[in-house]
Amino acid sequence: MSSPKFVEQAQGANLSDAADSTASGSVDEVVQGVLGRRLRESWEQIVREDIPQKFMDLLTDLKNTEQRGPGGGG
Amino acid sequence: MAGPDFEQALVGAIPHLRAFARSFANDAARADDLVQETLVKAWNSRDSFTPGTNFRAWLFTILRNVYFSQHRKLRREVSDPDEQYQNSLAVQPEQYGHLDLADFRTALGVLPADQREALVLVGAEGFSYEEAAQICGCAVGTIKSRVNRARNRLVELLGDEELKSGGGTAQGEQAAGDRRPVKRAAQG
Repeated sequence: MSSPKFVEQAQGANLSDAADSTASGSVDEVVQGVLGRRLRESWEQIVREDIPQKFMDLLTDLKNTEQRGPGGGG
Repeated sequence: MAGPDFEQALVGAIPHLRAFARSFANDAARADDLVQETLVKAWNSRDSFTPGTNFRAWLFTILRNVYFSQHRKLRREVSDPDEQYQNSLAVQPEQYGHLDLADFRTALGVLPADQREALVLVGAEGFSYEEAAQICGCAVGTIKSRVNRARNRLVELLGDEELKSGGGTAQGEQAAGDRRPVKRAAQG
């Protein structure tokens, strides 16, 4: 049984974020690191998708409507 | 914010709004409707944005409001679309050799909405606890405890061992075989 040397390092372990816990400390920290990484991967996968054209069209519409003035939109 | 700047910032935030919307409604089309309405609201109320404050937080707050007002309406009309959605997700992730993204998303879908929200705001989008609290209109301590409970629940759902082995292979994904994250394109 190895003594938990990491306890000292891990004393700063808090739940401040799921961010890079590259240095593996306590088990909790390892698990938290994995969770955080999965969470960000899953999020980034959506963020990296191309912006659908309909959103750009919508912004163009909003701009045009405004330029035509209130009531000018159709 | 002047017109063109505002527009640019808005466009830059769209991918993040889409991700946030997807955490409310996993149905991609419904999520995008939510984003669309958010953009209109944001555009029309851009004078209410305080320069110097977090623009994305402002947008996320709007999206949230749009969601909850729609949700109240929907509840009156149909039984509860999201409850149905939750139920369809309320399946324990299968026990594979290790964890992949699809399993992770399934587990995320099982979390209570308030916990999932707190977790994605802080853990995925990277808002501070204070910003997340502002977006959700609750106390900072509430966000902290929600994030905490969300994490514990995820560990419960996914399994400590799975997470640890998943953690071991996360950096050398290919080394663990070519199990690539399941692409979850619009299912509907």
